[in-house]
Amino acid sequence: MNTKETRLQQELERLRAKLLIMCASVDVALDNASAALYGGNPERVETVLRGDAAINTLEMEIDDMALSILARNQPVAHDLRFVVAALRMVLDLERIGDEAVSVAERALMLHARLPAAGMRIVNELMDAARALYARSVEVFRAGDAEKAMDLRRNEDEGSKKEMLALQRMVDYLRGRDGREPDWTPDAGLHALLACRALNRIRRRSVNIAEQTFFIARGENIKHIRSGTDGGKAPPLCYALGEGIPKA
Amino acid sequence: MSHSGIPVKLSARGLNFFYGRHQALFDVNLDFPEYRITALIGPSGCGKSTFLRCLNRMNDLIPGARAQGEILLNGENINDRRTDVVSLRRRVGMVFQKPNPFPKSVFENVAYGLRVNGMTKKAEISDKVEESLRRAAIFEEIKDRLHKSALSLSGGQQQRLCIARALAVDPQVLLMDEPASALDPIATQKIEESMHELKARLTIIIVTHNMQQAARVSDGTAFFYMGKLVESGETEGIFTRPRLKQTEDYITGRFG
Repeated sequence: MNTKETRLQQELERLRAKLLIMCASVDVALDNASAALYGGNPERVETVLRGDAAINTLEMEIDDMALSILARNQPVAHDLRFVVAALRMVLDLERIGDEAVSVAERALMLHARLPAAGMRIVNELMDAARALYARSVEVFRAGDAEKAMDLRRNEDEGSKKEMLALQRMVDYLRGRDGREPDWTPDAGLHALLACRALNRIRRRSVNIAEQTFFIARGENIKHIRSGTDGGKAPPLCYALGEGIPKA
Repeated sequence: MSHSGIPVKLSARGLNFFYGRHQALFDVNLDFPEYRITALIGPSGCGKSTFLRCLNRMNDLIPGARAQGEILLNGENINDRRTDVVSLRRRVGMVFQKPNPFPKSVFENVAYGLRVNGMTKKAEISDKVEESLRRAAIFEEIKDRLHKSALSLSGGQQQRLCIARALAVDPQVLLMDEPASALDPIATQKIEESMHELKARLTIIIVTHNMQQAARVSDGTAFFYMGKLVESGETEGIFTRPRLKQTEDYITGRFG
C-alpha cells in the first residue's frame, strides 16, 4: 500500500514544528535562568522575563492549531494521539517556562545573598533539571518510545539524587552541617522556592517523555508504577522530614 | 462466543467469493457479536460490499457469482443449498446506499413485507407498521402522511422508511450498505441515532466510507483491503491504536 502526504499530515507537521520551537524557547529560558543563577547577570534575568511572553504566545498558537486540526480533520490513531499529546505537552512546556521565570526572578538575590555552599546546591539542581529537560525534548524529537520509558524508569534514581541534594540544602539551612548559619532568612526562603521550581521542571520534563511514549504506543504510563515510589519523584516536602533516601 | 464473551450471531468461515474467474474475497474469517454494530471499512473495490451481500446471499442474483466457505447464522450455514433464501433475507434484512421506497404509500411500504409473510389482520398490520416506523425514528415526523406517497418524503425520511420496512419483518441482523452516504448531516445523525436504538434488539453490520461515521456508530470495525480482511477488533482500538500499518495508513488518509 503506497502512502501519501495529505493536507492533514502537513498540518500535523506544522504543529510538530511549532512544538519544537516552543521546546527550544523553553530551553533558552532555562539556559538564561541558569546563567543568571551562576553569574548574577541581570540581562539574563531580563531575557527570561521577556521570553516568557513569547512562550505564552506559542502556547496559545499551538492550542489553536490543535483545536483546529481536531475540528476540521477528526484525526485518528497516531495522528489523534499526537494532537492530544500536543495539547498536554503545551501545558507542561508553558509551566516549565513559568518555573524558569521563577528561578530567574530569584537569581540576582540568591547570587548576592546566598553563600557559596547554598548556591552550589541550587546550581546542582538547576543542572539536573536542565539535563532532564534536554533529554525529554530529545526523546520527543526522536519519537523514541524506548528512550521515553528509559527516562521514566531512570527518573527513580534521579529523584533520589534530588532528594539528597534537597536534604543537604535543609541541613545547610538548619546549620546541621556543622557550620555557623551564614544566610539571611529571605535568602533561605528564596533558595527553597528556587529548589521547588527546579523540582517542578524535572517533573514536567518527565511528563513530556510520558507523552512521547503515548504518541508512539498509545499507552498512558503517567500513573503506572515503575518502582517503589511509583516512578515519580517523591514530594519535595519529604526533604523537610524524615525518611529521606540515603546515598 | 466472540473474544469479548458476547454470543456470535453471524460468522464467516474461510469465505472466498468469485465473480466468474475474478476472486473478490480471500479466506475471510470474521465473527459478528450479537446486538453490536460492526463497521466494514476499506477503499473502493476492497470487497467490503461484496462481503456484506454474501451475508444474506444477495450476490446469488449476480450471474456467475459463487461463494466458497461458510457463513453461519445462529450456527447454521446459510450457504447450504437447502437454505430458504427468502426466509434468510427476512432474518437478515438490508438497507441500501440510496433509499429505494416502493412507489406506494408510506404505510404500504412497511406493510408490504408483513403481507408477503402472511399477516392479514388489519389491526396487527397497523400496529406493526407504527412500531416499525417508531423504531426507525420516523413515526412522529410522518404520522400525518402515512397514506401519502413514500416518494414525497425527503431523502433522509425515505431512508428511515426503508429501515422501517426492513424492521417490519423482525430481522435478527440488519445489513446497511453506506446508508447515509446520500444524506445531509442532520438526516445522517438521525440514522445513526436510530442505529444506536436498534442495536438493543438487532445485530447491525454497516459498510461505510466515512471513517468518522464508523468511529461514531460501531462497536467493532473490520478493515478490508484487496479482498482480504486485514484487521478487525474493537472500534476504539482500531481508531486509536491500530495494530497494523496498513490499517493506520487507511484510517489516517495516508493510503493512496
